Amino acid sequence: MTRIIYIEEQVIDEPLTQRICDRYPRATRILCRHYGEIFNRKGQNFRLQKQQPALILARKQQQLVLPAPPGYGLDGDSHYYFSHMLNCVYDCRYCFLQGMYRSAHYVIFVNHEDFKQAIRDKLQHSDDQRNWFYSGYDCDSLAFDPVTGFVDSFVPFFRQQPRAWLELRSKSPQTRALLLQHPLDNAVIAFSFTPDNISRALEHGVPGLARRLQAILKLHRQGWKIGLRFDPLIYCDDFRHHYRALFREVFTTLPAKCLHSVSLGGFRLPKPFFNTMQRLYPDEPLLAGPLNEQQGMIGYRQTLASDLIGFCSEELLRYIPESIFFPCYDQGYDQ
Amino acid sequence: MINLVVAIPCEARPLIRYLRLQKQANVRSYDLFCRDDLRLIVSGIGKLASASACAWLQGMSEGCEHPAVDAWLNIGIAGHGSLDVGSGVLAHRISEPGSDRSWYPGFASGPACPSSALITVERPETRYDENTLYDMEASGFYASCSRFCTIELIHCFKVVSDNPVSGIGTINEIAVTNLIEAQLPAINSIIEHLRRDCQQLTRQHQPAVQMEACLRRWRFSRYQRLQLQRLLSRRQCLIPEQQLWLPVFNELEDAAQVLVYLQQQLDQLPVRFGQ
Repeated sequence: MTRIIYIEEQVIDEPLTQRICDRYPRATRILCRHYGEIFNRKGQNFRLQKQQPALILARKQQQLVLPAPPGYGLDGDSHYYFSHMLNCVYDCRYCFLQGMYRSAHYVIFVNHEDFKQAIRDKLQHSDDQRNWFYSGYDCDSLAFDPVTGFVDSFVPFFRQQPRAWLELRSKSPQTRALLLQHPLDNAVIAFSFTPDNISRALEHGVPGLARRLQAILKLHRQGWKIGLRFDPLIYCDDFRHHYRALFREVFTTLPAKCLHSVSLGGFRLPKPFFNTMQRLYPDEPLLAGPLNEQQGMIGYRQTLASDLIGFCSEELLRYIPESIFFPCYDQGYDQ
Repeated sequence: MINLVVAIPCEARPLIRYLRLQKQANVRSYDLFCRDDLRLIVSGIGKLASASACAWLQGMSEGCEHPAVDAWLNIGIAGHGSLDVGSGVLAHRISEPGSDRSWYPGFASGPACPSSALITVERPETRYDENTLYDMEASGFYASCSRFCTIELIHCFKVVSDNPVSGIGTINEIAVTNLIEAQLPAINSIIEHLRRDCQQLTRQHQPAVQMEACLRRWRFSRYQRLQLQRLLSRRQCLIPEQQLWLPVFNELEDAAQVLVYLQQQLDQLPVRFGQ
């Protein structure tokens, strides 16, 4: 339960600010000049804050839409991401956000209209027919949707932008707002998965696989395009057994014909993020595992990464056509 | 260690009694009282005095090989624009008039009691804004402590001593002592919160088991020492149940051999989740 809401003075009268504050009538409200005073300051402890993160309601003023990092996207011409929220309600031990941000508080940007204008601007300056916009890079797109109102705000907007493709990425079965909308032709709802044993050990707070698959099935039946993201792939001794079981369960529930795309990628982090995460969680076996550094990135040793990505690619291609498969071979895989 | 910082002796007295603190007779610079993991220092009035006392106290802990995680709590009286005299309040935003700087104490699990914005002033304030505390130490205390402590472990707890109805003319030493005394249960609860968070961070920063034994037996350079700490932490994480001191260790001749052995052992360990 949220007990503290920091509010930038400049957004106090925004309708979304009011709506969120009304949702938490007993929370302590603290005014600040700029969200960075709380979110970016030195000397914070992410792990302590993660016990009960506060909300920070703010206006995103610059760099509202950015080029997507290499390897993040699917096909298409241009790839961008935008973040209506910073940080995630789940607590996945492999997540780079723990290493990237000093604070575990949830920043919610309430100026949705500015994001929409920035997306329009990108489209105006692009000749490409397919421009991807990813919303799940700095947060889970759906898990906090009842609070952020993201779906109700952005789905109608993207309906009017046929050259813009929206990818929502999530681990959440929180799909009610999507089910209340007509499916978008130019949107993919992408869900990421790890095998059950790994999810239980590393993805704290993430709902079980069966519940998520049922939510995806409902979306598919309504006509939404579905993406599957096996990213990051996590190595363990019997990974073949666990990933085979995961793929079997996923593709028994979801027919391949309902899928827009399937992608996978290895576990990798920039070294500074990894070092921060190791300091925060020195007791975490994932971070003590068989990792090494290559060109500033920490990932599995090449032979392990190659085994893992190779095996999972072959297994996936038993269930899906190659045309919808988008592996990210950026680390240690001999194709 | 939980460090309590108060400005004047009459604020300190009820805390010293309640927490059974002992005066440190060998300390001359400040009045310092200790017991177990608690230290209380009487800083004197004003933000500069408070900042200096915190820095001095921190200096006493510096230089240890494995310094413990400390928490800092400033306790004192303050004016408030609307709260009743005797109310106990944590500061959630600390600022100074005429300055752009603000400090926001971090709450790891929400404030343990009601909270308020606080303004640190140079002289006692007699014109009060409705929802604001006024004190004379907090900004100095917070600015100083935030140089050496994580912000979730630095807090200011104030007991309202004056307000628009009951002005500063009514405050005397006995009244101050009584105000603090009445809030001892709340103060104790905040100390417990801080102690729990300190313990969590201490566990996080503990040196690996057997580090000391290795350092006693072999000579490690500074860099090798860091490598050893890293390897032992990884080993402890992956096979916590296995003793480090295997017979093979008695055959290793120097630090380099120990590091190579540990690295090779770690490379061969299985990686399992959810076992």
